[in-house]
Amino acid sequence: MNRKTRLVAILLALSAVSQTTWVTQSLAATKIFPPIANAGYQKECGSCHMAYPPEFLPARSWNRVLGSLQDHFGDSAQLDAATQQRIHDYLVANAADKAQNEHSFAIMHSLNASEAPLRVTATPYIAGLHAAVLDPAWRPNPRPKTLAECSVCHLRAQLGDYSMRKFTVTDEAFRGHGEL
Amino acid sequence: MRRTSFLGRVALSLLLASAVASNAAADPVDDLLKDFAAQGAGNFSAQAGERLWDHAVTDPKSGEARRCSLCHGDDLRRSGKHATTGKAIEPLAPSVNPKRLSNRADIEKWLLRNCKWTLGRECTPQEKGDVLLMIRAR
Repeated sequence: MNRKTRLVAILLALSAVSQTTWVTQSLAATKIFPPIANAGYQKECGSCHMAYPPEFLPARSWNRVLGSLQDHFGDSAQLDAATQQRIHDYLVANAADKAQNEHSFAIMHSLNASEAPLRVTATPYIAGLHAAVLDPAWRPNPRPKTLAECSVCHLRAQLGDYSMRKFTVTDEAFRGHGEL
Repeated sequence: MRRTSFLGRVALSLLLASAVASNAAADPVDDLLKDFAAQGAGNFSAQAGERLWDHAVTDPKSGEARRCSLCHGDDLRRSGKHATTGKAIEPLAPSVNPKRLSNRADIEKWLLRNCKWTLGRECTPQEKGDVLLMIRAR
């Protein structure tokens, strides 16, 4: 290999590296969650509440949720063992600690390693963003009983897109409407 | 041509008839009623199912009065709303929602879960049969 071809080879290798980096970064930059890709999860969990993107909670949280379906926030969400295992595997494989998503990064960053919240809205990042929603002092509208149904305010939540929201509070300083 | 299509139509209607017949034989509610009868239940009644449906039980933890209509609404032909999350629940009446009562595993799963939430216990085979008859009539 002469000097010239060696130079070309190095340049090619470098461009390949920078291309890989670029692809990884553009994936990491997304705030959109991929569609739910598990029919069992959609059916079994999505009947009572929205089937939340698995990228909202770390694997250790999903382990806890799937291990306590007998008493799922006061309701029985019992499943047969095989279905439960399939749903568990899907949620853990796509959990926040593995996801290349900006919300997932923020959620993981807001949690201590020892914390494994059972609710998406109990993660400090999500809880902080929604502090006013359930506070009667702000007279929120709409006023969901809980934060379980994302699509009440996040009109495109079913598409994995949480950027759009429709929510008002009466206090002038906090008044917001539509896309922010 | 005419004759062929006539014969074709006869064959098709025979096929359809046999499909309907085999469906009727495999009706999951009938299957379940048979199983409940084998467990000692019998004389299932939609009226008894209706009474159980309207029966309210106070949940000891939350203090709230729970009944089936809290989530499913008063008219089974219309959508309900989950009492906690607010998510829409499709109508339970098979007359407007043919998916209902069509899958045995689903029926068993929901009877187990929802009896526990509403009544604080599992339903007896008699109660389950009664309620299924009531829902099927809607």
